[in-house]
This record gives sequence, C-alpha cells and structure tokens, in this order.
Amino acid sequence: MLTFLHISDTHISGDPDYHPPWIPETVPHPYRGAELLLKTIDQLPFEIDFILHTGDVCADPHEADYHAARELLSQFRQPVYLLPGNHDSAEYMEAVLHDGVNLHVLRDAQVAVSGYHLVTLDTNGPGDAHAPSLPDEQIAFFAGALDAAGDQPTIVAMHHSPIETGVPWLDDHMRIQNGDRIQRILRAHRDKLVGVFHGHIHQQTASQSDGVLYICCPSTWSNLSGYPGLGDGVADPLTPGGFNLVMIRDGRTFVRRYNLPLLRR
Amino acid sequence: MIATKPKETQHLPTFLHISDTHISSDPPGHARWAAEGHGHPNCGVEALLEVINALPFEFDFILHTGDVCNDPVEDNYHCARDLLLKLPRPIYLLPGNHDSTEFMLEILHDGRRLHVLRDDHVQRGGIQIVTLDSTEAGSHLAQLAESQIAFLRERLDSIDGQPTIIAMHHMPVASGVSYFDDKMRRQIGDRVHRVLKQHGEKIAGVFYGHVHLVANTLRDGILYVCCPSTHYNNFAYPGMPQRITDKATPGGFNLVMVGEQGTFLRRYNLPTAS
Repeated sequence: MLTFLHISDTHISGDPDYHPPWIPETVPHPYRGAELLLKTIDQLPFEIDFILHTGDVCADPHEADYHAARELLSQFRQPVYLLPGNHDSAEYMEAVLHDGVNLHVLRDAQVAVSGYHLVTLDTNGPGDAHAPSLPDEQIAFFAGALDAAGDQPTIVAMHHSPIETGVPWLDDHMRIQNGDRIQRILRAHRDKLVGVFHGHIHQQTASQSDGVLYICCPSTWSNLSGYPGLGDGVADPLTPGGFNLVMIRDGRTFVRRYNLPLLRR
Repeated sequence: MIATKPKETQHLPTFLHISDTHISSDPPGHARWAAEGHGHPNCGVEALLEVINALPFEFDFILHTGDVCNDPVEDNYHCARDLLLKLPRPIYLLPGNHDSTEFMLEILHDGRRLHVLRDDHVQRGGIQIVTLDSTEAGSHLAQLAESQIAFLRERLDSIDGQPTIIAMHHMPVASGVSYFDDKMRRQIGDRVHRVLKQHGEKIAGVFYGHVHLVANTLRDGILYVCCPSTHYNNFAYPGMPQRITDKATPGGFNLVMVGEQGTFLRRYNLPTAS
C-alpha cells in the first residue's frame, strides 16, 4: 500500500519578469502555479508517502532559478524525488536542490521507497533536447535496474515518454526516439510494474500498452494540446495545473487527477 | 527540430468518452439547482457541445457511459435528444442509475445518430464495443446478473485478438477509497475483472462513469477509465468519509485513440462559468 503525488514541469524561474514569447499572454509567472501547488498539497486531508517530480523543475539552467526552486520545494512536508527535464541543469539540481533528506535528485537511479522499487532515467540524452535518443549504457542500466528489482513492485519515472501515442507531434518531436528499446524492457517486467510516470508534454494523458500504464502529469504553468494529426505544439489554455494522486492497493494502481484553479495573468 | 513529416500510424478508431450529463428540462432558474449548489446541468452540456464542435480533428463516435438525464422523466429525454443531436458524430449511450431505460429507448434511440445500448455489442472501425447495463430498476446500486457475466464472457470468447472496449455505467474496479468501493461498487465485485483478466491482451480499456471522477486504474494490465461528469465532480482520497464535491474539477471528456500499440487517452477540460 502506497500513496504518492505525481507533479511535473513546474518551470520555476527566479526572474520576476520571466515570460517567454511563445507562452500565451494570459499565462501568469510559473512561480504562481508552483506556489498554488504547494499550498494545495499542504492542505490535503490525507497522508502522502512522497512526491515525485518528473522534471523541468526550472525554466532555464541558471543557478538563480534553482535557488528559487529550493526555497519553494523545501517547504513540502513530504520527501520530494526530482528528475531532470530538458529545461534543467542536472548539475545545479544536484548542487543546489539535493540534500538527501527532503529533496532527492535522481538521474539514472534505483532507490527503495516505502517497500517499492523506484527506477528513474535521466532522459536528457544526445540529439534533440525535446526528442532525445538514449545511449546503449543507459538502456543497459535500465534493464539491469528492472532485473535487480526482482519481484518487488516497481515504479518507473522519466521526463520524456518512450511510447508512441498516434499524435504526430508527440511521437516525432516530444518522445524518446529509441523508446521502443525502453518499451521492450518494460514489457518483459510488466507484471511488477505499478506504472511509468512522465512529464514533458504538458497535458493530462494515460496510455496502456502491452498491459503497462503510462501517465503524464500536466505542468503547473502552461499546458499544451494533443490530438490526431497535430504536427506542432499548440497551447491548451483550458488545462489547469495540478497533480495526480496515485494510490497503490492490492496490486491496483489508481490515479486520480487533482486540478488547481485555472490561473490567469 | 526534426523536419515535420506526419507519419501514417495505423490507428483504429478515435472516439470521445463522455459521461453523467444529468440533462434536465427544468428551467435554468429552478430552485433545486441553487439548493444543490451545482448550477443547472445543461450549462455543462452546452459547454461540452461548444468544445466538441470546435475540435480541430476527426473522430469516429462518442461513447456516453450513462446518467444521460438527471431524473427518469419523459421531458428530460426530449431535452436530451435536442442537445445530443447537436453533436457531430453517432453517439452510443448506456443507461445510468438516474436514467429511465424505457424513455432512452423510446425517445433517444434512432439507430442512426443515437444508439441506446444495454447488454449489447457493436463492431466499429475494427474494434468491438461490448456494453453492459449495470443498473437495476428502483436502485442506484450496481447490479450484474450471472447471465450478463456470461454474455461478456461469450463476447470475448467469440473474437480472435480484435481490440475490444468494454463500457458500463457503474465503477467495476475498486479505487481504494472506501466511500466509492463500498457504497457505489457493491454487487459488481470482482466478477467482471475475472472474465476480463482471461482476455487481457484484447481489452483496449474499460470505460465507466457514475462516480464523477477523473481517474484511471490499472489492474492486472487492464486499464479502467472513469470520465467525470459535465454537471459536478467529486473528490477521491484515502480515508474520505463521505462524498465531497470538488469545485476545481471542470467538466470535460476523454479523447481515446485505440491503436495497434495500445490505447492513448487525453483529458479535455471544459471552460467553467465564472
């Protein structure tokens, strides 16, 4: 039995005027979404084992952004496991965020959490930052980590998704391009998998492939669309920030979406 | 960026999952909506029509997993018919515990645009849709007779590897939230799951409504999907003592793309009044 929260893509910036030109005018500063997330989680009327952040913690790989992120993330009462996304500096994450007590930065890692095996991958591989290809060593690490889990129920987390969805933009421009290799490993271990948790595409999705569950948590900042024929990133102003509540009970994974009020500038 | 070359993926049907519209012919200002604190349910349906009619992509059909109307009153179904016919594609509708199956069949079902399904199966675009009527007259609780379980088993036995979606109104899988598991799932138990588990590789997903949640569950490799209501939605968390309305969850629907590689769902939220 395990209860955790999945959060993603907070894109925290230490710059009070941060607003890149491709973000719709109405979207407020990312710090507001992250603050609302903190406040909402702090008031939840139930116990949580940990929080899993699937990357793009900060907006830019600048040291000041990680100090701003630390100030906010260190206020969570639960341990937070953080993965690097393509907007992050894994080095600043380790130097500024990681304290090994409340904030745990995980790259290619496997850790025991509350009786479960958590395997993470740093998917910022070579190639397009949005659609990387993972080198052989990482694939080998991943296969080894799932073998090492034995029969223990296993949670997998990474920033980019390895699977095809049928949405051209997601598949060709936002996915791990050699994700089929990851998928084959997951398929071989599917009986012990709780789920694969990712971010990056800024929308609420769930997929089932070969009996494996893949879950994306949207951003607390600005969200995006996904539909048949979509070839490019398009904003979805109706998807609010939020988080996923994940309850693991008797071999079932139950994922319930929590939305935050939609923020406007 | 890599050059854009839209790839031809072999997608089976794309459909929308909607649920629990609770349509009512009561006038907008009727005192009961103010008393219930949820607003008039048709407002959510109007928002749903607006968003679906503006979608920039084609889809094959819409699946409505029940509680089409709020009360089993004839006028509500005339109102529902007028609203649902504004949707652009055929709709498969299942009865929920708030519905009158008789009025659904008599007033909604036309066999062209609106298809009311009880214990039934439909072939569409390379997939099989199997529906179960989980309602029982005079009760809000789930009820499935042994003959219905046998029907499900027979439908799954009769097809050879074809992707199948299962739909019913009530929640067929436990959530871990005792309020829903004990009060709303009673009598379905694990009987559906035992049948599905034997055919796991064919099951593209099990779609339901009733509990007014945005929730997905994986059990033994089978994906169970709840589409929330366009009327009002609920919280769900460990130890939740009673039903609690979650005003931050807007109405919406799920885009479902069934493919060779599995099932992809994306949540669409509706604009909220305010």
